[in-house]
Amino acid sequence: MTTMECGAGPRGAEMPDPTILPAAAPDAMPGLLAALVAEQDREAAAWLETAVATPPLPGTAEFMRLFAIAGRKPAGTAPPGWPPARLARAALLAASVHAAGDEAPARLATAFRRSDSAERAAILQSLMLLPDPARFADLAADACRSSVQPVFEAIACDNRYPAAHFAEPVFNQMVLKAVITGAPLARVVGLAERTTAQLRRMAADFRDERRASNRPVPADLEFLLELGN
Amino acid sequence: MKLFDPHIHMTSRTTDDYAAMRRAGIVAVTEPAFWLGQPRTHAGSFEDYFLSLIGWERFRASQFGIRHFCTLGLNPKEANNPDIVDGVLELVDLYLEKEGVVAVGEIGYDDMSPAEDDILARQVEMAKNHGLPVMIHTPHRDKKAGTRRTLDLLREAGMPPHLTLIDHNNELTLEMVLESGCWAGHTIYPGSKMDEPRMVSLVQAFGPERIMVNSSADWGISDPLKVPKTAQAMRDAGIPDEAIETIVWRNPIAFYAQSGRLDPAELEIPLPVDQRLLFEGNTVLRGQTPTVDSPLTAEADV
Repeated sequence: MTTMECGAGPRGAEMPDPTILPAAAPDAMPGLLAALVAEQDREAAAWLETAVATPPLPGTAEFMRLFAIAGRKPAGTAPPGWPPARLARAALLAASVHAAGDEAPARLATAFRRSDSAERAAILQSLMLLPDPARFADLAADACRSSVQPVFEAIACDNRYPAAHFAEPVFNQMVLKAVITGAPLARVVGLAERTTAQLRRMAADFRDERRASNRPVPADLEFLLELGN
Repeated sequence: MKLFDPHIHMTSRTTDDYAAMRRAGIVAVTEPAFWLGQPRTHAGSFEDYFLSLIGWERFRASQFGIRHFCTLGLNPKEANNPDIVDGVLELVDLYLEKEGVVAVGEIGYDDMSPAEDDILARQVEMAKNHGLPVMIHTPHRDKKAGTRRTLDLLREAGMPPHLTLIDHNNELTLEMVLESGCWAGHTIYPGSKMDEPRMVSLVQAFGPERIMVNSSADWGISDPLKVPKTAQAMRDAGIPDEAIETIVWRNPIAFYAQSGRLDPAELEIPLPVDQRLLFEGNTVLRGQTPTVDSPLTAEADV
């Protein structure tokens, strides 16, 4: 599922632009996302509208219950990247995080810890839809340490969050991990703008390491080194 | 030739692995505390983990004629979770005094984050307070810079090089580690880190002094027989037995014996196997007849 969402195609050429996300005020965002679900599954959208009307706080038992159901209730698979099930989870997140106010970072971290891999990917992919997303930079950085590739790719690929909110060392580590794990760099949003001398130095060192060990240099590493020139 | 795997995560391995390792000549291992593939969410999880490393796992190894030592520490990946680090470090400090704990480890850098700086420095202080060596993991990403930064931190902290093992070296890091006076570990992995032919070349270039090889076998694709396989590759390449034995036996013992918790003379004596024994009422057997000093314990020719 997540592989498809992250796009299996080379350089993501056939993907719609994943950076196009709905824009709305925090209190309007859940309804806007629910409306997108309604385009494909009216019944699920009605369920979702009830859920977001009185949103449970992130990480609570009721939130985790609704969050799980939201991921399987809506039918339909289009559009790639934002199928209705993921839109429904995003809607619930947008409503619950808004309701949590200043407690949102701690509560979202609890929800993340209690989530399975698909739920974690949904949280990461939804970060830019949440109010004041800069508050969730620690959670997003921690997700980059995941060994579960779909979770890592949910933050590293087709996601505007890292370029917008990661400090340079975090962004650089994420890019190098993408090269090492085979997550296509063409799907790292904003990579060209965020490429620095330090990232190029890290990429060059890694190329030296591969050559010294007589192992192939990943094509994306050359791509990264060329980005700087 | 007796063999010592100075870095292997036996908790993740099977009894078949233990039996195969013993047949291949491995009679001692060190199991560093590390992460379990996904981060633990509570400090208390580490207490059970540490207890298993000094308890059940050591017993399990003994049932196959293998002496099991461990190192305890908070690994760099989980050092980034502020909710657990203080609780875990308290536990590390507590359990470091236990029998068979031969170093603080594996500690070091992963992302090279400020949190990792802090936790590494605090654990180096702990090692000094407990009079223990440190066993250092070097990062997979940005390895050369990460190794340099590790050596700088250790020097500034006053950690003696002869009590420091820097692990997971490759062609780009070995020279700086040897120059620093530290011991240098090499992880022989199927498909990454280091392989047997490359290791042979490094030994031909740098000799056996302060060099070790290990399997780091764990829950991922890895091979618990990489130490005997690398010993064989060195032998096939004409490296003298004396040098090989230094790498796969004498060096790990010399390094970890500095803890005062590992007796080199005792290691020369085969560990008698008695599978009739129980650990807290539990056994590795599932109804089989217990092996008592079987051919399993006879030294294999590798």
